[in-house]
Amino acid sequence: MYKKITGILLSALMVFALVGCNSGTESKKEDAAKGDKQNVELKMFFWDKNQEPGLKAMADDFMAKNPTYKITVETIPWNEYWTKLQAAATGGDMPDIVVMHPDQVENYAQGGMLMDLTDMLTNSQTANKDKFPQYVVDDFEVDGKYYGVPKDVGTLALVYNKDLFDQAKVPYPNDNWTWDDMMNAAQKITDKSKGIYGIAAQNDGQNFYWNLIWQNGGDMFSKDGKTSTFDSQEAIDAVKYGVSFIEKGYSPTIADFANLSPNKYFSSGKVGMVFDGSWMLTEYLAVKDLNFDVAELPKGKERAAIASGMAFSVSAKTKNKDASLKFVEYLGSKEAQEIGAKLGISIPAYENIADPWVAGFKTIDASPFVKVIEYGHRSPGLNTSNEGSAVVHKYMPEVFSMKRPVDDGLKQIAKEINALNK
Amino acid sequence: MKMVNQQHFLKNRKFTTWFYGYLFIAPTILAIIVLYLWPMVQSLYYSFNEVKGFQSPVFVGLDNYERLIQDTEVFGALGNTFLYALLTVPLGIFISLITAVLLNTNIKGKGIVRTLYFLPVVSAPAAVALVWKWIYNNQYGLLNQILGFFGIPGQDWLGNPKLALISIAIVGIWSMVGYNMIILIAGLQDIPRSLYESADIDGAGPVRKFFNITLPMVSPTLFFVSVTTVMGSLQVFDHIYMMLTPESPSFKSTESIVYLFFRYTFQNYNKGYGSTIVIFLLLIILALTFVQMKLQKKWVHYND
Repeated sequence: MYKKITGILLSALMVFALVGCNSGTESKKEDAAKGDKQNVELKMFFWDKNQEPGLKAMADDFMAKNPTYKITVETIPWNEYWTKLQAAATGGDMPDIVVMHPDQVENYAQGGMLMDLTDMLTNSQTANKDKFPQYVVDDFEVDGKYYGVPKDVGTLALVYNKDLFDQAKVPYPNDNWTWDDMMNAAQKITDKSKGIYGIAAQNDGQNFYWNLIWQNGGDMFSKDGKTSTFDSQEAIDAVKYGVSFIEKGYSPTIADFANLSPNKYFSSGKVGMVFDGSWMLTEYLAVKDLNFDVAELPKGKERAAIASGMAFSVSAKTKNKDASLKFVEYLGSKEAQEIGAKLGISIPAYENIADPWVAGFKTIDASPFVKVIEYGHRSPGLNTSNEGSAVVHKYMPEVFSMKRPVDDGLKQIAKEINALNK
Repeated sequence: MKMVNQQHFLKNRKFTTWFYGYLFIAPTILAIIVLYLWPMVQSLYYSFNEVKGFQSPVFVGLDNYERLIQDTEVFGALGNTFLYALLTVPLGIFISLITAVLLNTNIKGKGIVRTLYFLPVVSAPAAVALVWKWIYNNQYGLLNQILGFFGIPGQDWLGNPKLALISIAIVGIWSMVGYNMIILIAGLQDIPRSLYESADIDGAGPVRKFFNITLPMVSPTLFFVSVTTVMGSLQVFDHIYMMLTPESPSFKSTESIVYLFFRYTFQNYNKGYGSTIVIFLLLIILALTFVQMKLQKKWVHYND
């Protein structure tokens, strides 16, 4: 037995020695990437297939102006994006440019994975941080340094199915809509015999109840971000309002959503209203015979909806530092963001150029999404990247399936998140 | 003089044979070391450290293990995982054995049938999960349509916390039967024909032949299959990940131990605790395998 094991180890060692002899050829490639004189290859990662044409158009425009550059844009689906990026970063194989998310940037920046872009953002003529909404810039600030060139702003609005409103003879949502108006419309549109529901009241913070909590004057966290305020009366009342759509039968249950996602419910014409993001428009427009439009989310005590910006970040370990900086500076320029805006990919972050984005939609009025930029709230940083989200996932399904009273569930969430943060 | 030469020659030959043998298995051994053994050592090391985000490990001793012992979520997930194993292992092995025996006979088109049974093994889990999601759909799903045809009320297979784990287990069984069947067929084909012939002469029926010849003779293969199936079922992850989301009401009743590991390691950026969870699972699997090794004396029949 021992003989066998030593034999195995010996043979493994031999092969290791063989592999070792072979690693001398790598360094030649690195020399090729220095300076602008020779060809430079850059790689960029993003998660949204819908936006691929826009990003490629930007890259093409840049390559036309800088013929020595070759830029490849790779799309990794959202479900795998952060897992893959984490693996790539850990393995020292991160692409030169990545699209960053406000909830994730802290991890990457503190782990030394991102290049500090403060110099560029403060001194650049084209991609200066003054040109972008303050909160998007701040979202990518970690420990006093900036790590992202703002790319776009994603906002939430009420997307509604015009045909279902017409059938139920309900007037379309307008800017003065209140919570009561939304409840009434949901009631009238619901038609159990046809399997049609008024609204998709989903167990999802970003796409549903965070917005309601803000509209009710509440928040998930205190101003300093240290204490969870999920248990505040404002939050409890807002979630009660949200869950009441399911209780009254105006929305599919969350068990139904386990079978068919809210997006699919809406695009198959089974749901009258859905809270949805500006990034979904191109997808819904591609659905045949879906006659829909957009309104602002209804007013609670105040106007509120989520608005979160994405940004371009540069890998700290890129072999083409100057080239990457040059490219992200271009990506943050007015001309680049206008190219993206015209293709309807997303609301550009650059100041005062949202109009081409709105004008790009011929059949719908996308302006409500742009209005949110005025009163938008930042993401509470409660996503899968921290353990607070696990607490939310523990209780919210019970709250939304009416197995646990709303106040009890939210109090538990606040209690456990606060215990985590101690 | 001659003698010495001969001995030397023999030694040499022995060495070359050995050398070539190891050379041929080296790629596999190397892959095992790089892809399995090294990560295992790394996980063990991480489990004694706090590893947050991309930062370097900070030694914390047994802190992670202390947290693990008090973590109700881990034990909930462990319960789900064991329940899944109980649902899939006995039934799955039983079905695999029956299909193997049936497809080891000389029926027409057995090659095609074997291929069909083996298909789930080579299909991508993502595609498998997508198709099953449609089969299970509570309103338009094929399964509920078929049940409705017989007048049985349709169920919410994925949304109902009481049923979701059973639904996942059905997919699990369906996915593993093909692989186990192929291994068992190989085991069945090793059984000498002469045994059956003499049993025929003695006038044994097919049932008697199965229990007195087939089962004892295939038991070593069956043992291998049961050990690997137990390991596999305790590591269930991909079907759950693909078919349910954390927002779903039934998620907490299906969350498996590997899902927790995945969540902590890849989503919460807490590699230290994630590694602790996976080491915990490793210990459980080791213990169960040890028990199985001990039990094999009772039922596995080696004829050497």
